[in-house]
Amino acid sequence: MRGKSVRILLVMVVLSFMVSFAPWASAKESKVVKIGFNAPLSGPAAAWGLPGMEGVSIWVDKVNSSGGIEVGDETYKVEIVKWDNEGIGSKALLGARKLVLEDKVEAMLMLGGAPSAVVQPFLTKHKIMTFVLVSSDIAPDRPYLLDVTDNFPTYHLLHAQYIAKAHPEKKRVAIISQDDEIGLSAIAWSEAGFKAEGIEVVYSKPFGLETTDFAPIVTAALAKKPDIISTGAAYPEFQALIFEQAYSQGWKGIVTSACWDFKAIAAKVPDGWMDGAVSGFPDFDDPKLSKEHNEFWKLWKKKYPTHSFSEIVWEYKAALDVWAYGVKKAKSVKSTDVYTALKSSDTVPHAFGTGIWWGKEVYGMDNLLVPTWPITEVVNGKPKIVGYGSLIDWVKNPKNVAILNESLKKWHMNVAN
Amino acid sequence: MEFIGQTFLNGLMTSSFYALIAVGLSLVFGVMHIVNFAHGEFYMIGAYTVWILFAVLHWPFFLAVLAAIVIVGLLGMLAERFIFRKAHGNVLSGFIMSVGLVFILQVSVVKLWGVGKMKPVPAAFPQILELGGISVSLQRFIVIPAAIILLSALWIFLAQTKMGRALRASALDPDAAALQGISPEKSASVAMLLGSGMAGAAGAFMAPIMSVHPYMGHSVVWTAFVVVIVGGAGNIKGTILASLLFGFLTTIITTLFDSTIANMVNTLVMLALLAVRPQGVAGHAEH
Repeated sequence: MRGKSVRILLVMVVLSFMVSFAPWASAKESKVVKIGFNAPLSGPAAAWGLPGMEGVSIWVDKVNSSGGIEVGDETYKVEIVKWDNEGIGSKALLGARKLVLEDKVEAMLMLGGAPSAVVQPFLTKHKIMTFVLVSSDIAPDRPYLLDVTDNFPTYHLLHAQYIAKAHPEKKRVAIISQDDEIGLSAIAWSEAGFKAEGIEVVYSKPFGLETTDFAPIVTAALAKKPDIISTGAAYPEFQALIFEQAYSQGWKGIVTSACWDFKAIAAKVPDGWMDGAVSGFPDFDDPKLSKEHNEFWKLWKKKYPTHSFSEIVWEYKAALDVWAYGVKKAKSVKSTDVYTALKSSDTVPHAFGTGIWWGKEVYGMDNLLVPTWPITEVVNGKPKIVGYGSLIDWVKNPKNVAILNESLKKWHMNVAN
Repeated sequence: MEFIGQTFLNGLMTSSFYALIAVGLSLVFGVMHIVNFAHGEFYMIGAYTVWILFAVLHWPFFLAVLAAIVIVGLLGMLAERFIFRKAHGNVLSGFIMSVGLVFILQVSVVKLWGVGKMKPVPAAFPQILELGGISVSLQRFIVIPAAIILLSALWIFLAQTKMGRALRASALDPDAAALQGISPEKSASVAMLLGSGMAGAAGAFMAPIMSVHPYMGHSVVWTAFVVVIVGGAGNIKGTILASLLFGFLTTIITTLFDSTIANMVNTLVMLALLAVRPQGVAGHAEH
């Protein structure tokens, strides 16, 4: 009996040696780094979250199929842990706690807006770097919150600048957006942009989130005889209903907005009604964009042939590009290391070219990555690049800055100085 | 002048919508004495029916609307038979059961079609009507004649048919009606068929105009209750009058201020009217 036990022990020792010295044992083992995706995947803001998972999934497939991200001697596979916060602060906080405490994520992707105010104290305490799409979320008490892709709401200034130049006869604007942090930011920045160009703001009133019928609101706005309607950052489902009303009440003019959900709008207005609409997000098959953009477009189109393209498709993914740049520079996946590496770089690659850190003048922190931003006009139902605008140049004019500060104060936005 | 005309037309459209949704609720309360919070979900299912049949399967719009009325009406009958029947006359039990039904219907729709983005329903009639300098889409305008036709049909049914008179008798005095051989179960079943069908019609006609999503019933059911309370629970004529009152009030206040203030004012008006006329605008005081 004793002899049998000794033989079994010997076999086990030999096997363990074999396993230890086997070729695969010396191979570099991939670790996993987790990133949280805490965004609205349902509710009125779903169009600003749901399509983001498409770009993120393409990015993750590409990175992981090529072995992962090399961090010094180690390789990390990336895992995205998603959470539907429905655009509600309490649900976003619940998600943040789960993602950080249970899933141990090293960074968080979020839309921003009202949920940020609820989530940020928790994420700041745990030093979790958060990438949002709303730059007006940036504040000195949220040091780890960065906007590295979408420059909302700053590009409203550039849209107004473009409209004033391209359509000098348009002199009156109505701004219609919802009464929440995102909507009010859009109203404040849009007002500043139009005022700086000498365009009269004839209507700028936020509407309640519970609004279901936009006929009375559009009637009130159209009574002021606007040449331009800006829907600021109206949630896509609201935007489609606003445009439907503007169309059905017989209004014609230039529309502008932070972004569009063409599928939702196309169901409400006839073909061609959106032509001439001004925004800042081209489709990625635009010939004026880079080969990388066009490649991404092909991959996305192949994977989601029936879906509608919007900037949300690539923005969360572009934040992952910036995060990966920081990881490589930091040689670490730790949130604070990546943050330090990114912030210590004078320039960081942005989806639209070289980006520089900005924001201290308005937000109190240089946590917004600003590139030269494209301006698009809708032609045959498709946004095309018609020019570029520079926020950095816009704020060089002291008169502009004074108008901006006045508008931000009027709408109770944070003004650093 | 155009502004006033446009606001008037907006008010008329909103009143028609309120009447469609509230009359069904009022009928159910009148006959069954049940505060049916799931009425908003019946409205939502009406809208989803049009989304599936008209927007996805490309059925003719009015056929999809008819299907929505029938499907939601039958759903209401099933709800009466298997859920509400045991709670006839017991307002609290009926209310709790209806809240349960709200969750069941919402979750079912979420499980079947997901939640995500709103379901896009294109306009079946995108033409623009020009009425003396006022523009309105035909899609939006047809809600007004649709409400008039459906409410008139309901009125004729209740006034001219044996079954309609039986329903009114059940609403006025269920015990006396039962003594006359009118089955309370049958009355309740027909009331739910008609009331839910009206909610289905409201959802069907509003689907191309409003956002279609699983929670769309929430936003209308409160307004419907305000209308029913002010109109007098179970009082069809009063409900129509209250629909006109709140349709125009909501439209005017939203135009001049915003929808949040409109909701607040609606509630204040309801409280004030209840203090003065607890029986509702068209009801008779009990002596």
